[in-house]
Amino acid sequence: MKPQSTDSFEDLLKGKLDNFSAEPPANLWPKIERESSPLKQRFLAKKLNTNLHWLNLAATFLLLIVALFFWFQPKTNNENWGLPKFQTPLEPKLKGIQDSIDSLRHSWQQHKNQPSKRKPNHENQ
Amino acid sequence: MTQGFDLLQSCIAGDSRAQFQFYSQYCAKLYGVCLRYARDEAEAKDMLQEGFIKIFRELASFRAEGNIEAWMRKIIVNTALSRLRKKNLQFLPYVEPPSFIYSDEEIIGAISAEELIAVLNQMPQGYRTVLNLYAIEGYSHAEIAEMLDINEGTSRSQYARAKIVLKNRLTQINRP
Repeated sequence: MKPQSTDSFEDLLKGKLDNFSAEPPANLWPKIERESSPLKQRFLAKKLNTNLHWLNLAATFLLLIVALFFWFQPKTNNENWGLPKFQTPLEPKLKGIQDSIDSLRHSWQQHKNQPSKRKPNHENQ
Repeated sequence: MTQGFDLLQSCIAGDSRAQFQFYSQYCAKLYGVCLRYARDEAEAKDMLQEGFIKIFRELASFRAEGNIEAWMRKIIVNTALSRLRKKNLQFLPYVEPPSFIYSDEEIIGAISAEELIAVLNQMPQGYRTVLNLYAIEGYSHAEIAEMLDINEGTSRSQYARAKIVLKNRLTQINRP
């Protein structure tokens, strides 16, 4: 630093301008904020952008594969769309019960259709 | 002081709110510094933006016992000089003959800071820069020579010429 000046010109000029202040444009802060964000944050944002790009590509590819799979499926009139029928372990048991019920019903019908044996006995009395 | 220290720590941690508060606290004064070095408001705006980005990046290296305002001002001045160097700062050999008839008090005292800035902005870049660094920032001619990569003699002569030009312009404004 220079030695203390005795020239009044410098002192007057300094006195006038040293504390001079003016409001900067209001739109300046967003630019500063964007530029001064931590480097790490900017790096992560960049990385995320790159990852999103790859994810987009992968999702599009997957969608295309699924669309092609359905497109080349043979057309059937089956209500179940040709899907394989799976059997649960309970199904055979239920089927057995159903068969028993059917058998009982069938026996009952037969029994009902047979001519009554009691009637002649009653007539004999 | 504690509040200022907390604010500083939050700024270093990257807290955007704290940074905005910090910016709001000092932007007007530092913009005033930029206006003295720049040719116009657009250039001053660019200087302030670049300067504040440097301030936030280097804030962690600031020592708490120092004067933050002086530290920031130094960064702003260095940013302004760096920009001026990129634009090939020229030092004019020509000097106008002195025509002032008033005393320093009369010519500087009668004018507002805004008018003085406007007059400074019309002066050649080399004159204005040396005048700012010597008369207002308080650097010696040896320091100015080092900062601007010129001879000490050039700094002295530029300052003497700048002083004459400024006084002439201010005299013209003050003349009835």
